Amino acid sequence: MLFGYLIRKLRFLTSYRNIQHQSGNSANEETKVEKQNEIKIQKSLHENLKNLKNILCDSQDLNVHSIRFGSESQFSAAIVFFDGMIDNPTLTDGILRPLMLWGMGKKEDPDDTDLLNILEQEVVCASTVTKEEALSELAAGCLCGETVLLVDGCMGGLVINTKGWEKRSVTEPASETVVRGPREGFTENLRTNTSLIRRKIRNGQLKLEQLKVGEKTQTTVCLMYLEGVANPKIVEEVQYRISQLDVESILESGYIEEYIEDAPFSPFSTVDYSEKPDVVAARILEGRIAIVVDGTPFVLTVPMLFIESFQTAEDYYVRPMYASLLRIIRFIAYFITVFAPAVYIALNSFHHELIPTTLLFTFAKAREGTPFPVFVEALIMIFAFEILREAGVRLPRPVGQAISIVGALIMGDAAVSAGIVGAPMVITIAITAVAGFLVPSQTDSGSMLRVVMMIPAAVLGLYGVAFGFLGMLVHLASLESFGVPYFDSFSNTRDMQDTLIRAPLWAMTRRPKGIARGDMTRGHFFIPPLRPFASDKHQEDDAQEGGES
Amino acid sequence: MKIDQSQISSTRFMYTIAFFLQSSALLTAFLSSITEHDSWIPVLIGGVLCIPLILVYRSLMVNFPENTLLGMLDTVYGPVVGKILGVGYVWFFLTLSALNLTDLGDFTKITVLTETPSMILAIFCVLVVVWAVRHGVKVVTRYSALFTITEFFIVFISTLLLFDKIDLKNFLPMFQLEPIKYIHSTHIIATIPIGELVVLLMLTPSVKLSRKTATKCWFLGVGMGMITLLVVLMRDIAVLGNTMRMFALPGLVTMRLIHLGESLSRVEILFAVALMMLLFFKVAVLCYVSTIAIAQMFKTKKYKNLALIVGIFVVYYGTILYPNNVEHVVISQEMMPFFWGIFEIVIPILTLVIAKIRKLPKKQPEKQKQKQEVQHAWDGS
Repeated sequence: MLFGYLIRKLRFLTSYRNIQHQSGNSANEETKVEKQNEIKIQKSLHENLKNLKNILCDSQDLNVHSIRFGSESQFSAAIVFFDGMIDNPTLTDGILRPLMLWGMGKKEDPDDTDLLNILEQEVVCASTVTKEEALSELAAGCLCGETVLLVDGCMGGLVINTKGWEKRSVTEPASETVVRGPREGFTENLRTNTSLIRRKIRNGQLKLEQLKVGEKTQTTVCLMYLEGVANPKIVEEVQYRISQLDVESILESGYIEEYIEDAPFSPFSTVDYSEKPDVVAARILEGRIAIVVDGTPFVLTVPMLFIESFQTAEDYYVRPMYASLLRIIRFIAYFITVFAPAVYIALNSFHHELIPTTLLFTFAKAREGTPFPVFVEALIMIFAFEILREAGVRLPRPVGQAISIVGALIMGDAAVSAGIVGAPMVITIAITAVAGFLVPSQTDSGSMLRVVMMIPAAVLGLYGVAFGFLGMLVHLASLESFGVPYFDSFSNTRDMQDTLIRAPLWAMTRRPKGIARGDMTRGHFFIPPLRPFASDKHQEDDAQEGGES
Repeated sequence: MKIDQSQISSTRFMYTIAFFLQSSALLTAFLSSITEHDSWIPVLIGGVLCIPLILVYRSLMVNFPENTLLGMLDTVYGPVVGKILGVGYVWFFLTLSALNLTDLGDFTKITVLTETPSMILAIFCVLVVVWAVRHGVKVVTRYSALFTITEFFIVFISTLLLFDKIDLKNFLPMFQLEPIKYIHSTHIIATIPIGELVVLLMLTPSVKLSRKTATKCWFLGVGMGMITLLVVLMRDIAVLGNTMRMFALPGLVTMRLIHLGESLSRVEILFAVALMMLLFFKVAVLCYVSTIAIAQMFKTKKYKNLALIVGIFVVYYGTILYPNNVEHVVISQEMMPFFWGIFEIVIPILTLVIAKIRKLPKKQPEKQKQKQEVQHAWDGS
């Protein structure tokens, strides 16, 4: 509460300062902008090239290639591009070759004003060619990997699409592996990613909106959603939040996530991500909005519900009974990963009567040789585990094995035999740690909350755990993701079809209520084996066929 | 005057009613020490007799859909008398919160943490309650459905597990006590669990309720709650019989008897934790209502800042209410039913009657129509 109060005050102060800053400097800024625009394109090729180089700081990888073309080589021109950002075959076949060969048999030469239009429409062979008259636009084109063609005597230049750079091919994602289901994953290239999604949903309703974010990085951010299915209010909200961003750089979708999420101080993330096109496509089909960011294989989806962390792509590819079992196991695992250490502490320090007698003796024996209270013991073990996990992620591959041996032997066995922690505690932390990986997108919240839950457990036993749990529930209930309550699927009875159990696909005929608007039906309810015989028409067809044969 | 802008659906309101009643299943000791093994009879009679009372509540909600209880009093009795009654109600809400909080603390002290001062337990509980209250009615009532169903589940499972201990002879002899005892018990049932529902009138402006759904909600909710209460009482009587009046918490003693071979025994703590959670949400609703009421008394919309103050007040109020648990039970049995009766039965009925005489919701029809149309639009979407 106090924290929230401080945050609100801070927010107010920053906005106040911004307003003052803006009102004070607005005049200055305007003049600055004007100064930038002052460099206008001129007729002389030499001047233009000089100015363009100036804008691009005369960078060494800027290639300027001067050419002469026309029937008598009377036009001098230059193509400007950044080395490594363009596709060389396109450049030679689409621009250089047609230019050089053009005008061989012609008698009349076009005048300067027409020349660019003719070049744009008749000569250059590329997917997109645009005529630009501002030098800044030409420079921006260069920076995107496009080629700029400047002709002497023309007020303007052509920006020709020759984008092409080294990129990773579509591979199986490392973070989300499946036994059954498509194995392709997103790559770092924005276009590849959007095309991967579009290939899953071949429908005109799939709408794509492009935004540029980041003052320095100029990162392209795409919103993808199903028009008529996604809630327009949420779409508007997402657009607003992204367009309001006044930041320098966007290097990963995590940046966007942090800037647009609803609850920055909650352990639970309110924006979901995925690396798999089929997962994102499924979410778009539910009415969610995908945010594809250039340069990262992680695609964000909003709004996120708590239940989404427990749904995996595979749930829908295997048969419903088994999928439901897995779903329940995942819930239990998350419960274990948050509460197992807390409950262990509570049982060990307050509620001995709940432990079966034989087990109690084992516990007592284990506790006999250990010097620390259970709470401290648990803290030590959790800390050790987190260190090991982080080491496992960061270490170079070949060293990883050594770490796992150290982890397994030293931390587990040796710690027990040395009498630092008890064996039951090692088991508890081990199951806690392993269970955390069943719900990948809540691993971070789990590892934070388990420490938080241990404190009330150490102070008030199971009562403390119960109230810790209630506090967590209250917090979860108060969260919202883009106007949709985070716990929506648990309070709407109709959305229960996809929570604790996963209903068969033919029974999930409606989209989630909180997310989608407009077109809510996904299909008609039917029970599969009956289908061929359910309609009379089919039967008639069968009869007719029978009669004919 | 609408203080909390968020709204809840009529279904959630129904479950709120249900779990409000269910959480009283802990406090069967008030009854069992008077009518002993016949305690289920007053529950039945009380349930039937309270139908008109529930109709009164429902009518108040339907007739004044944009007012809280205090707002209704203001419109019906005028600003001065309404305010005086309003102060009374604020005191009533705060006392109820404090009582329930003390119950929660005592219950925990008896069952789980025998050596911890109940003050600590209460403070810990209130911290979470305040957190919930600050998030408004949506959060306070969000889990009502979940907990109602959980409570059903617990009652069902425990009855099943106690099947070997149930002895139907424990119900005999029936109707052997003095008639006054039955009346006394019925009075307690009418005021303590059912009459307390009057606090839910404070939620009126936050509930999307139409004339049709209101009746359904109230009766289904009360029905669910009363059935749980009845089943719990009958289970306890069937298992414990005449010894029931000896215990402060008969329900817990019953659960302590659960033995299923070697695999399952001494599970009452798990039940206790579940019941604690139920009581927690009751306290949360009560604290929310007190906060809203105080906010309305002082005509402020910043109820969030009041939540912590109300919480702290309730903790201290709870400690000075009774010197000990026995007195709590005695006063609950002998004084409270009459005292609460004023707030729960007399004033609501009087309010409704005066409202009818003064034909009070004057401008309402139009507004109500609009509201209903909005609701239909909501239902349709």
